[in-house]
Amino acid sequence: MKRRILSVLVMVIVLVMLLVACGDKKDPVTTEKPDTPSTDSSSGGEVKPSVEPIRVGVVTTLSGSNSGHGEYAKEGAELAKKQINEAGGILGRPLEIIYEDNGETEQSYVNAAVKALSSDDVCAVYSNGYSSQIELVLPQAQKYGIPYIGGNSSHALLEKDYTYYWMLRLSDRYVSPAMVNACVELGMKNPAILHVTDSYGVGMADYVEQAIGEIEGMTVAARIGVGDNEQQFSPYLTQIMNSDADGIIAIQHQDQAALVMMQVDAMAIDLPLMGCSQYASALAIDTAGETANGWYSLADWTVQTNTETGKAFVDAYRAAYNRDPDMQSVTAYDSMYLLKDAIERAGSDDPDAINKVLGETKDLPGAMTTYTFQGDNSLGTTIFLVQTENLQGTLKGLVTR
Amino acid sequence: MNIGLYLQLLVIGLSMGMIYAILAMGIVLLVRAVGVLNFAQGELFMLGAYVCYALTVQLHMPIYVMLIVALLIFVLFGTLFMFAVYWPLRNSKWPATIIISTLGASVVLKEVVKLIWGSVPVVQPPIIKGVLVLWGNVRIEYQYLFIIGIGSLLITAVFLLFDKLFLGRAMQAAAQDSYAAQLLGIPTIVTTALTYIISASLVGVGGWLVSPLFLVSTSLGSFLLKGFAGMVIGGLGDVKGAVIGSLLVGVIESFATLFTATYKDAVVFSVLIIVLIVRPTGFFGQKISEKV
Amino acid sequence: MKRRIIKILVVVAILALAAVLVPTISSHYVITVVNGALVFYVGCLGICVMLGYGGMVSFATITFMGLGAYMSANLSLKAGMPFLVCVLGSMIFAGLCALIIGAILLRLSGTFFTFSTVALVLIAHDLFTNLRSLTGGPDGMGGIPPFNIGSFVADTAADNFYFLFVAGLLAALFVHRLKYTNLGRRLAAVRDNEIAAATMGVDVYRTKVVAFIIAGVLSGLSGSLMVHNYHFVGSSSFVFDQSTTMVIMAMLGGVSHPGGVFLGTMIITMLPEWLKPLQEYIRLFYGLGVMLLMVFMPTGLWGLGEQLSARFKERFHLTRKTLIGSDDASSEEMI
Repeated sequence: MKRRILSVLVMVIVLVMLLVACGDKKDPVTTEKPDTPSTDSSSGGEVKPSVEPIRVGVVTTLSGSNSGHGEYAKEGAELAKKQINEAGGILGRPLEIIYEDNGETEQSYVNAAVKALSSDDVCAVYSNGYSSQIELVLPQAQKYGIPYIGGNSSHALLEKDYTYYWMLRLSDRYVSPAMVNACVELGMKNPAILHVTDSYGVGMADYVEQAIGEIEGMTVAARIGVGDNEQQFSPYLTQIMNSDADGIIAIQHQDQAALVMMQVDAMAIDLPLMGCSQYASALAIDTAGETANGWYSLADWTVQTNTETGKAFVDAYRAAYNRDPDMQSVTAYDSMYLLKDAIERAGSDDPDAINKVLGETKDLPGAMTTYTFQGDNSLGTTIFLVQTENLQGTLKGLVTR
Repeated sequence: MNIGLYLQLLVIGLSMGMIYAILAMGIVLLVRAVGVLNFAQGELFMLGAYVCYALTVQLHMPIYVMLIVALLIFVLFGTLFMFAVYWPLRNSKWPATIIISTLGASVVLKEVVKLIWGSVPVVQPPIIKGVLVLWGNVRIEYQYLFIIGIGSLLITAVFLLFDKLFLGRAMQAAAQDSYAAQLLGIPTIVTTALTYIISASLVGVGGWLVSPLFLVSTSLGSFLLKGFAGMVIGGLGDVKGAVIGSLLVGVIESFATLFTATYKDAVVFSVLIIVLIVRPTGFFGQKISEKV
Repeated sequence: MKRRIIKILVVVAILALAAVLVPTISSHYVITVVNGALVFYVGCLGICVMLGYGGMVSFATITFMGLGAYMSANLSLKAGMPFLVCVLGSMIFAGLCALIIGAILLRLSGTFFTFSTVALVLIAHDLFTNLRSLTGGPDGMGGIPPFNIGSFVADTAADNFYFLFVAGLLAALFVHRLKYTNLGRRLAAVRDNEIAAATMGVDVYRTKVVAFIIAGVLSGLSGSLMVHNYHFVGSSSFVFDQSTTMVIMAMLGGVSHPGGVFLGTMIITMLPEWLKPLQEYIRLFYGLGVMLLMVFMPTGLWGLGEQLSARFKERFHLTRKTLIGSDDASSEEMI
C-alpha cells in the first residue's frame, strides 16, 4: 500500500516540478524586458529608459521546422522598432516587443498566443500564424479585448464578427477578382482551377469561380481540389491537358506550389499559368528553380515595389540584415507602424482605444501597401501583379481594391 | 473520354504502383522474417532519397559510383536499423513493443534528416529528362517509364532470390522456424540481418527513383501508407500478393482522380477496408492459427 | 483496510490540493497549457484501455475525438444544446461509431487491425476536411460556447480548468476501476494470450469490441471537451501525426495505468513549452525516448517508478513480506 502512496507522491512531485518549471518559463521573458530597452537606448539615445515602454506582443515561429518564417518576421519587427525608437518612440515612449515562440503544433500556438495576450501591459499582438491557428486564438483575443493583427489573408476570418482581429493583407475575396482580370488579359477564357483543399485554398477558389462567373463568356474548365499532403499532381495535370482548358489558375502553399511548377514543366505544358501569391514567394521559387519562370502571380509583396515607403524599407532592410526582405518581414514591419499610427491617434496605449481607432485608419502609407479602413477589418488596399523571370518576380502592375 | 488520357493515367498509376510495390516488398520481407510491421519503412525510403540527393547534388558523383556508394550506405542502414530496433526487443513478451519502437524510430529518422538537411525540401535533378509525345496532348514522362523498368527488375530480382537461390531458401527457412533452422546450421542472426539489409536497400532504391518526381522532403515518408495498403490488399506475408496489391493501389489511385480529387485517398483506403471485410487475410494471404 | 483508507485519503488530499492550487497560484498561461494537456489526457485514457489493458495498437483515438468534437460543435451551434447535453451526445455518438467500426475492424488480427485504424484516420480526415455542411470544411467551426452548467458559464481559463479537472478525474477513476472488473480481467487475458483466453471461455471478439467502444466513448468525451475549451474545431487537429503523439504520450508515462498516462500526457505537453529553445530536438528526444523505453522499460515511467519503489522497500524491509524477486512485483503490472 505504501508503495502506491509513494508512487503517487513521486508523480505529484514530478508534476509540481513541471508546473514550477513552466511557471519559471515566464521569468526569462520578464528578465528579457529590461534588456530590450537598454539596447534600444544605446542605439537611439533620445528615448529615456525611465519612461514606461509601449509593449506589443509578436507571436511567431522561432523554433522548429518553420523557424525561417519567424526569423523574417522578427527581423522586420526589429527594424521597425529600431526606426521608431530612433525617431523618438511612440508618444515619447519607447516601443518594446515581446516575442512568443509558437512552436510547431496548434496547441503550442494557442499556448504562446495566450501567453502574449496575458503578459503585462500588452496593448496589441501581431502574429503571422496560419488562419487555422489564428482562429483558435481569436475568442481569447476577444475576451482579453486586445487587438490581434494577423499576417494571413483568409477571408473566412473576417466573416466571423471578431472585432479585435485585423488583417494587414488584402483578403482573398478582393484578390480573386483581380486575379481573374489578369487571367483575362493573358487570354484565358476557360481556365482550370487547381487548388489546395484547406481553408485558404477553398475560400480563394470559391471567390475565383465567382469572379469568373461574373465575366461574360468566361467559364471554368475544371475545378480540382487537392489535399495539402498531395505530392503527385501528374494525374490532375493530365486531366487538365485533356480537357479544353486554355490556362491554369493554381492556388497552393509554398512546397506544393514548387511541385506544381516542376511537374507542369516536366510535362511540357505550354498554357498561360497564373498562381496565387505563394507562387511568387522566395521559398517556392528557390525550390522550383528554372521551372518557376513564366508563371504569373498576384503577390502581396515584391522587392521591386514601386512605392516610396516600400523602396525605403527594402533599402533599410538590406542594410540591416544583408538579405532581401520576405513577405513575413514586411507584414511584421508594417504592423508596428500601423500600431504606432493608431496609438498616436488614440493618444494612449489602451487596447480598446487602439482597437477603436484602427477602424478609422485612413491612407496610411506602409511598406507593403497603403492601409485604409474600407468597411471590413482587411486594411490593405493594393496587390502586385508579378511574373517570374530569371528566378525573380518582375513587377507587371499594381491592382487596387 | 479518350484513350490517350486513360493511357497516361495507366502509366502514371503503374509507375506509382511500382514504387508502392517496392515499399510493400520491403515490409513483407520483414514481416515474414521477424513478424514485425515496420512503421519506419517510409522513413528509410525518404532516407534513400536524401542519401542519393547528397551523393549526386552535394558530392557530384556520377550515377554509377553514386549507386554503388548508396547501396553500401543502405546496407549499413539496414544493419544498424536491425540492431537498434529489432535485436534488443526480439525476446520481448509483448509484440506491441516492437511496433511502437519502429514508430519511435520513424520519428527519430525524420528528425535526424531535418537536422542534417533542414526542413526546406531539396530538389533532385531528373535521372532521365523529357517527355515522350505519342500524339497530340498524350505525353508520358520518361521518368515514369524508367521507374516501371527498374521496378520490374527489382521485383524479378526478389522473386529469383527467394525462389531459386540457396541463400533465399535459407532465409525463408529461418523465417518460418528459426529454431529448426538453427539446428540445421543456418545462423538466424545472419539471415535476419540480411533480410533487413535487403529491405533497406529496396526502399532506398525506391527513394532514389521517386526523388526527381517529387521534392526530397520528410513528407516522402507518407508513401509508406500506400505501400501498406497494397501489402494488406495482397495479403500480409506474401510477396506476390504485395506486388499485385500495390500495383492495384497505384492504378486505382490514378483513375480515382477522374472522379474525385479530394477523396482520392479515401477511395484507396475504402477499397482496402472493403477487401479486408470480404477477405480478412487479403487476396493471397492464408489463415494460419497461431501457436499457444 | 486501514491502509486503504489512508491511501485514499492521501490521494484525495493531493487531488484537492491540485484542484485548489493550480488555478490560484499559476498564471493564465500555465492554466492554458494544463487545460490543453487535460483534454488530451481523456483521449489517452482510451489508449490506456485499448493498448494497456487490451494490448491492441489502435491509432483511431484521434478520429473518435474528431467525431465527438464535431458532434459537440453541431449540437451546441445548430441545436443550441447546453454543454452537458453536447458532451453526452458526443460520447454516445462516438460510442455508436466505435461499435460499428470496431465490429468491422476487429475481425482483423493484430497487425491488420493496427493498419486498418491508420486507414480509418486518413479517411476520416478527408471527410472532416470536405464535408462542409457538417464540419465547416477546411474553415472549421468557430464560436462554440464555453463550458456551462445551469447558469454557471466558464469565463476564464481557471473555470475551464475545473470542468476539465472533474472530467479527467471521473474518466481516470472509471478507467482505473475498469481494470478490476470482469471486463478488465478478460481484456488482460486476451492481451496476454488470445488463444488461451478463448479456450478459457472468453469471447475474444466481443471483449475487444467492448474495449474499442469504451476507448471511443472516452475519445468522444475528449473531443467534446476540446471544442468547448478552444471554442473552435478544425480538421487539421485530427491528423495521423497527432495520433502517434498520443500513443507516445500514453507509452511514455506507462500505458497500463491511468496515473502513468497522466504523467506521460503532462510531460509531452509541458516539455515543448519548457524547452522552447530545444524545440528542434524535442521530437528527436521523444523518438529516442520511446525506443529506449521499449527496450528497458516497456511499462513506461510509471512502471519504472513502481519497480524502483519496490526495490527500495525490499532493501529497507518496508514490506511485510519480502518480495521474492523484485521483478515479479512489476510483472503484475507488466503489459
